[in-house]
Amino acid sequence: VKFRARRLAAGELDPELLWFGVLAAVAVTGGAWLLLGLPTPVCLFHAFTGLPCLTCGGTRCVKNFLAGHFGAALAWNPLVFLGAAVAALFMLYAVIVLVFRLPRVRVVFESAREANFARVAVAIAAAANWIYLIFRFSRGA
Amino acid sequence: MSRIHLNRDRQNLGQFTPEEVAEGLRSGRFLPTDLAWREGMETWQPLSTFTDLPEPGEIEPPTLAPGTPLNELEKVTAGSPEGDFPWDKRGEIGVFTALWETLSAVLGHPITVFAKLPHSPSLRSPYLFYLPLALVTGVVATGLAAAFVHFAVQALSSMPDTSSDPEVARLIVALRGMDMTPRFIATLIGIPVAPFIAAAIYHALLMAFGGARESFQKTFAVTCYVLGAVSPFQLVPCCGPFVQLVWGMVSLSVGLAVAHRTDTWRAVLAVVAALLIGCCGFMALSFLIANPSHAALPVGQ
Repeated sequence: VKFRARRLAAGELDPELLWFGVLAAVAVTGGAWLLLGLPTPVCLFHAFTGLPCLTCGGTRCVKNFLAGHFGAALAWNPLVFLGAAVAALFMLYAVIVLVFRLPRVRVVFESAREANFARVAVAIAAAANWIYLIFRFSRGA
Repeated sequence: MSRIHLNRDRQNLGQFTPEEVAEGLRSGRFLPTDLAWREGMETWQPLSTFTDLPEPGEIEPPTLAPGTPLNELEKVTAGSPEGDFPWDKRGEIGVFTALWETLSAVLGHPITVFAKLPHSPSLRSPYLFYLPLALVTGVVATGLAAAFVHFAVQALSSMPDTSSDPEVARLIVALRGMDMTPRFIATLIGIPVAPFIAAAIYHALLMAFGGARESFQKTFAVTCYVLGAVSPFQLVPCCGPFVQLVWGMVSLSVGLAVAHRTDTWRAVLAVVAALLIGCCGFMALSFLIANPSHAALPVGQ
C-alpha cells in the first residue's frame, strides 16, 4: 500500500468535496433526528433471536460520540465508533485540503493481493466486533 | 508506442494509447490495480508496474482542426453512442448479464459507466432497469419486515416473564404498532413514481445551481440506474437502509457530475438539497398526519 499526494486536474471529479457533502448531510439530518427525539429503529434481529446484530448499540455509540464520551461510544460498538472516528477525521482532512487547495492524498493498492488483504481484514474486524457485541449483550448491556 | 489493452475484473475495458492510460489514471477512470498488456509482454501486469507512462505535463492536447463543428466536439465529450452502456447491450449479452454488469458498474465504477451514457438516453431503458429491481426488492423487504414483526411478537409474547419486564412489554407494544399495510401500499404506489419525482427535483436543483448542461433524460437515467442499483441494500437487516442512503447519495452525485459534465459541488449540492427537501417534506407530512386539524385550517386564518 502506498500513499500518494497529487493535485486535481481541471474539471476532474472532486472526491473530497463529494464525500464531505454527503457525510455532512447525513450528519446534519441524523443529528437533527436524534436531537428532535424522533424514534430510533428497533433491532428486529435482536428482538427475534436474542443476539445483537453487527450494528446493535450503533445509535447509542453515535450519541455518546457526538457528546464527546468517546470511551462509552467505543464500548457500545467498536466498529461504529471506528466508522464515526474515520468519518470525523476525513471531514477535517477534507475541509483543510478544500480550503487551502492542497494536494489530495490517495491510497494506492499496488496489487490485487493487497486489495484482497484489505477486504479480508475488514471482514475479520466485523466478525471480531460481532463476537465482542455478543459477549457484551449476553452480560446484560 | 503500441496500444495498451486493459482489463478489470475479467472485463475488457478496451485498447488505449499510453497518453490515454496516463490521463485515465490521473482522472480515476483507470486504477493502478487494472491489468494491462501490450505487444512484447509475456503476461498481464497491474498498471502500477508501467513506469514508462507519460507524466501529465508531457501530454499534449489533440490538435483541433480549424472549422471543426462544435456539435461534433459535444458528441465526443457529452456521451457515447447508443449501445456502450451495459444495460443497453442486454439484447446481445442477455438480460441477467447486463443487469449484473450494470449493477456492479454503477456501484463500483460510477465515473466510468456514467461517461458511457448515450447522448440522448430514452426514458424507457433506464426505467426498465429500475422498476423490476426496485419493486421486487421493495416488496420482499416489506414482506421480510412483516414476517420479522409477526414472529418477534409471537416469540416475545410466549416468554414467561413478559408481564414483569417493562422493556419486553414496551417492545411488544412497539412491534404491534408497526402496521405493515400502509408501508406495503406506499411501496406499490411510491416505487413506480419515485424516479420521476426524484429526477425532476434533482434536475430543477441542478438548473438552480447552474449545473444542468444536459437534458432531463440524462438526469432521469442517472436517477433510475442509481436508485435501482442501491435498492437491494433494503434486504440487508439493520444497517442496509443507511448503506443504501450513503452509497446512493455518492453514486448520484458522481453520476450527475459526470453525465452533466458539471462541477462536483453543483452535483453534491443538488443531491444534498434534495435530501433536505425530502426530510422537511417527510416531517411536515408526519406532523399533518399526527395533527389532522392543521391540515383542515382554511386559507387566510
